[in-house]
Amino acid sequence: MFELRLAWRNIWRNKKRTLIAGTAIGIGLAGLIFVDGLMDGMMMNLKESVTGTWMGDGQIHARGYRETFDSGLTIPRTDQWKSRLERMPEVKALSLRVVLSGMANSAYESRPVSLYGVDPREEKALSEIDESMVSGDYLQPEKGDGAVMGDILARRLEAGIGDRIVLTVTREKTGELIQELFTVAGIFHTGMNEIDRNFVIAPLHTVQSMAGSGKDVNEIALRLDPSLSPEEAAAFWSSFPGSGIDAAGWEELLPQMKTVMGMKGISMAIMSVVIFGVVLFGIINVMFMSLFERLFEFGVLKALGTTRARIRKLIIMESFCLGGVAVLLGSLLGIGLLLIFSWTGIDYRGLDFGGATFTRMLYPMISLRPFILYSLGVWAATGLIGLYPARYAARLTIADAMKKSL
Amino acid sequence: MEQRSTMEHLIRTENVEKTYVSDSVRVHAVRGVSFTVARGEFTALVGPSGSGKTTLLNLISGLDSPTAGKVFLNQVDLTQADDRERSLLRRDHIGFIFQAYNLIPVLTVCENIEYVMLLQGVEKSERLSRVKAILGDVGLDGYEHRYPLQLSGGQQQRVAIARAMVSRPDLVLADEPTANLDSHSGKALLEMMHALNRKTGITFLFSTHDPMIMERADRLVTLKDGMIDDDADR
Repeated sequence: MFELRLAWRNIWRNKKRTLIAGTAIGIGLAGLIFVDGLMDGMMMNLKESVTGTWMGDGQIHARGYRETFDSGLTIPRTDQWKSRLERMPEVKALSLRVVLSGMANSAYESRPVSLYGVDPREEKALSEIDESMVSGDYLQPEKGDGAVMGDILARRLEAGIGDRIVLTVTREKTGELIQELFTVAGIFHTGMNEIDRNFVIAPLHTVQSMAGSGKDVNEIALRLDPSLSPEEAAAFWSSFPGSGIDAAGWEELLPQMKTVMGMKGISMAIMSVVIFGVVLFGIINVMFMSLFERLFEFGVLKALGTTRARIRKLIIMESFCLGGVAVLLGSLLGIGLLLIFSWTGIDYRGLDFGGATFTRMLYPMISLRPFILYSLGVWAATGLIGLYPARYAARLTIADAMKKSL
Repeated sequence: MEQRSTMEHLIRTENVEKTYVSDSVRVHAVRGVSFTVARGEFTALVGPSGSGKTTLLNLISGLDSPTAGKVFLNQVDLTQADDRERSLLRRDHIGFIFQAYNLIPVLTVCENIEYVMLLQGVEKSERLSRVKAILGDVGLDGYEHRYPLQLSGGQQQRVAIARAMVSRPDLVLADEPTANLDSHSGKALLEMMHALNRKTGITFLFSTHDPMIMERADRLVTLKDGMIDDDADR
């Protein structure tokens, strides 16, 4: 305890230097905490952008569909599957979808499109298309020829609300070309380029009749109970083996997203190494400055009978004390930054990242983990780096340290 | 030179030499010094600057190692002791009084004085009791919680004396202890050290130019060019 008291008082001999060094290290720590929270927020935002806008938490398809996107591959006995899924406690919402690729022709332009047939009421509970309408109205179940499309597609087709467009698709089973006339009922902007550029969404029964698939669909998108843990969700998606269908969560449907999220750990590790490096050399510098100022005093301590081990202990404790001050300052700065930006948010909307697009304001996440992880890391590192000056001080020759006197 | 073989020797040096080499220049600071100091002596090493007084004190206390020869403290050969053994020997047997006091500025008077006892593992109650007693001896009652910078030079040196003596060492080494003090304070301190020497029997070995100390010392060992020029009881 005595050494700790002495160490604590020693670091405050030069208050300005301790505060500057502590602040410098603290800024590094705050940076780590903030970036960690920002990246967590970014990953959460991306996940919500991807799953909330359209995809859902996962999807069910006929086996082989995801490899070929063959619209002839429909989920057999879709009605039975729908009933079964609706009884599952994990499932909060679902939407049946028929998916066709085709061409959209307006009076002026032609564009390749993805045509989705959905039940407007089911889809409303699952995706955010209804909330993304920028003009016109969302799909009305009773208006079988009404369709909504993304704003980029509408612009390219030079189509507006009330305009007619012709959708041409190929019926996979027979190879027939099927055409249907739709009225543009609404235009949406999700912020996700892929959707805004390619999607035309029309009532389910209309698209089903174009596909000739009867009542079966290509895709069932699911929204799961948000209280499920990632492990429980993974268990849910793997609970369908041998049933002739292919159930996959969003991580499997968008593997590039999972890779991007996995890169968070690598990014933080690289950043940590850089910041820790700066921090550690900063500490060494401060400790040596302090040491050289007090060489004579270390000589006195040794002359009085202080062993090398105690000198080492004293310097390491000074290092830990300085680290403690830095951690306190850094944590306060970190929480301050996180609170400010979790209040104001950061507007990355429209930015593509890892194959997905941010569609909502980015808010850094505040959790205890980065505070504990990085604070302990910085504190331990500052303490341990004290070993170097400690070793130097312990090995000082007393007569050299006390050149002026005994 | 008188041989002091009849008394128990606290310090004994045998042909001690210390040579510093710097940029191929060899400086012979101490040359073949052999002398003894008995327990309870009040001895002064005197001589002009550069005569080797401080170097000899460094060698006697184990702060520095001789180039040749042997140094014994309490019959222990310091030249054979490792760094830790020398530290423990200083902790338990030697008290230091420095010219510039060299108190630890961030420790209070009480903490400065109890430092060596802390190293020795003395119980807190015993430490505080000894600090209180020694502060009385050096005339600093009530100064326990002051910091060194809140004291005058003379008061700081009294604290340094208290620090040197509180652990009840066999030997107190004092390097120019009065050099930074006015003559009045210097004289008072010298009287105090002499009284403590008489009261406790602790051996004092000074390095000094101060005529007051020379007058008060029981024995003067005069060094010249790193060698003993004269050794006389007074």
